[in-house]
Amino acid sequence: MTDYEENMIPAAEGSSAAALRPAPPKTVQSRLRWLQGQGLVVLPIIVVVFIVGAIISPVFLTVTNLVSNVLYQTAVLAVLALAETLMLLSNRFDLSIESVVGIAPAVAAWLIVAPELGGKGVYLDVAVGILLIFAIGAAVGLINGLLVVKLGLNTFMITLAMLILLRGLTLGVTGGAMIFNMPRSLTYIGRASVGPVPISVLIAVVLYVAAALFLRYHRLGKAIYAIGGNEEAARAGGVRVERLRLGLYVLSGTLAALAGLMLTGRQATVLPNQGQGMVFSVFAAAVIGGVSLNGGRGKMLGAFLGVVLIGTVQNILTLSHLSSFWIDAVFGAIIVGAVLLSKVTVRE
Amino acid sequence: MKNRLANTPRSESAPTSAALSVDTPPDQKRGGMVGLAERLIASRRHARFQDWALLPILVVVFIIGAVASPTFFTASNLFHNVLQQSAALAIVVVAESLLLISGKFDVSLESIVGLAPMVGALLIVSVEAGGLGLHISPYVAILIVLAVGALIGVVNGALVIRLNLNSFIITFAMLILWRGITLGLTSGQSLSALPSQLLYLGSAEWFGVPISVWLFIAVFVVAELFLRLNPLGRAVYAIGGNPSAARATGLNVNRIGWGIYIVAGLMAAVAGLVLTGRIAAVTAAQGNGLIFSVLAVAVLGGVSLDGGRGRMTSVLIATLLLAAITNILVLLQVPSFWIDAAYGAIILVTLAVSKLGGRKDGAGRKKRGGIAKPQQAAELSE
Repeated sequence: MTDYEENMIPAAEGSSAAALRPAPPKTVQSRLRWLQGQGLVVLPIIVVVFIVGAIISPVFLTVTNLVSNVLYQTAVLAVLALAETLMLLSNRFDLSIESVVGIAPAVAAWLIVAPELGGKGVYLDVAVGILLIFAIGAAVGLINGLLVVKLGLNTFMITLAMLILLRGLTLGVTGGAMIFNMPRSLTYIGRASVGPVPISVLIAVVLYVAAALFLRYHRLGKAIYAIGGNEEAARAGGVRVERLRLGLYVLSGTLAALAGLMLTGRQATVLPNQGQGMVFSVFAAAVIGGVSLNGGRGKMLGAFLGVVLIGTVQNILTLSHLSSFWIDAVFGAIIVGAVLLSKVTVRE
Repeated sequence: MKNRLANTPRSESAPTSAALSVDTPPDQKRGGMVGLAERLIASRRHARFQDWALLPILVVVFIIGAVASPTFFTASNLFHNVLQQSAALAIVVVAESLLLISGKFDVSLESIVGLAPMVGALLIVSVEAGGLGLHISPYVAILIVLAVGALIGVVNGALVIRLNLNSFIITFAMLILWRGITLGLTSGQSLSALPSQLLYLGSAEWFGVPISVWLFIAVFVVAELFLRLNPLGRAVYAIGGNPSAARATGLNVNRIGWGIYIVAGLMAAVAGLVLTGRIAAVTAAQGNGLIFSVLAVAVLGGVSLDGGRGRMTSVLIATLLLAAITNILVLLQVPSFWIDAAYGAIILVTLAVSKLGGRKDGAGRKKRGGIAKPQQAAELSE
């Protein structure tokens, strides 16, 4: 266990109100179910993965590796998984987040950077550029939301089409080339750190704690569970369903834009295929963390642990002497295993 | 409402179990061509306006294509570019549509398109060209390719139907696994120098028309006739529309569902052979990203992600629509990434317009864009 996790768990546990916790369970089965309910079912798997990691590589269990590799590299995934978890809890999807990770920073960087470095040559002010990144994310979320909420179109299809559209636009804007040599202020969030801890990790942690508290204590947070579990009942209970859903889509797009900014900073470039395929890991993290695809069930802590598991596994695979071509296959096998394992204890 | 069962009285647009028993009482079934014709006419009752809703758009696109480029409306372009290049997509679209109609998902089909021909090629190609050097007969290799597809279908079916895992997420995970295995098997290399027998489906022609185009047409015709006329085809709608009712009428829901997974895997392997034949090689990335287009086309063609609804005629029109638009943009020398963007835009606009234009979509309207919940429906039926 890292320092980081030891800090994290009590913080999030505080959010799961002690008053609502059921009496201590008795059997193994019910113990697992209790863990599932708290979003903690991945914890034993993470412990096993940490032990395996320590055996495979002496580098793994060092603070440097855990903080500046595992956590730093999963911060982007963590923010995306948070956005997707909120969507899933409300019984909707947002697949387009992986494309927002690409398009939002790509457009901003394109407008900021000089033409010889892959930009348009508009020399936009960096502060405006950063605002633009969030505006693009929010706008994409708003369009998704209007199409899904107002027109009642299928959430999966709309956000998938949006994913394809934005991916094409990103390639079109960048001309398929990297945009690099960006101003320091644009890469700040992704590169800077407070002491040994990268700012992007701090942002991710703060967001998770805030989201967990919001879901548990805030009226709207509870309403998200309500509309995900039974929309009609929630409506009857006075929740303004359409408005809340629209807000969630905008939030999801904005968070994806933040993730894009963090990724751009870390890489110090905008890649034309930035974010591609990330939605796979995002869904895997959420589902492994016990977030139901049918809405209304799941915990932020669970999603967070799912992200940590995926990040740790990826790190161990990189550290191991496995041929890079087999990493994907092993990663896939582990995901399949984790989904199977989580099924054993999920009370669907 | 939370579950699909509450929405099921949409059976008028799809022959669910009720229609199944009414339309094909076993004692009144007639054999031969007369019976076939009678059943075909009877099944017209189920054909709805929305089966053809995309046809005007397709006509407009064809007119625009003919105006924009003199090459577009030539037989050579239509057969060798529009149809041949979308044949692999079309086969996977039909496979995925069958799964969707039965209320299931299989995202891993795109990885079968890569993995199945890769295994076959590995067993043929010599060691220096990146293979295993086993030099097995190409005919055996083709059988192995098909077997790999079917086997993956068996595995996916087992995970979804036996273990009752969510078909979306588990096939997502399997996709990562199979794709990783494809990459690992060849260390990211492409395998070329393949024997002509293995390339046959994707490269040869019958009567001046590529075999892949014949296949394209054949899968749609067979799937349409199967779904419309065969009792088992009706059963596919029934188990997708209302699994518990289907079970109550005596259908073996699990066996049919599993069978569809196997057929879909097999079809994806055939699509892999078609693709391999066309480019005369198996690449490590073959099929990557295909599933996005497949799902887009299926849904554009009116196949419900909630199961129980979908017509092959409109899926065919949707496939042709996307194929024609892609071809026109290529002829106009639009860079490929703008084609991708156009693709997404077309899907968004078509979905929005068809909704605004008042295309009645009972389930969608009620659910306000909800996501498929096969698990919940299954749970309720127990």
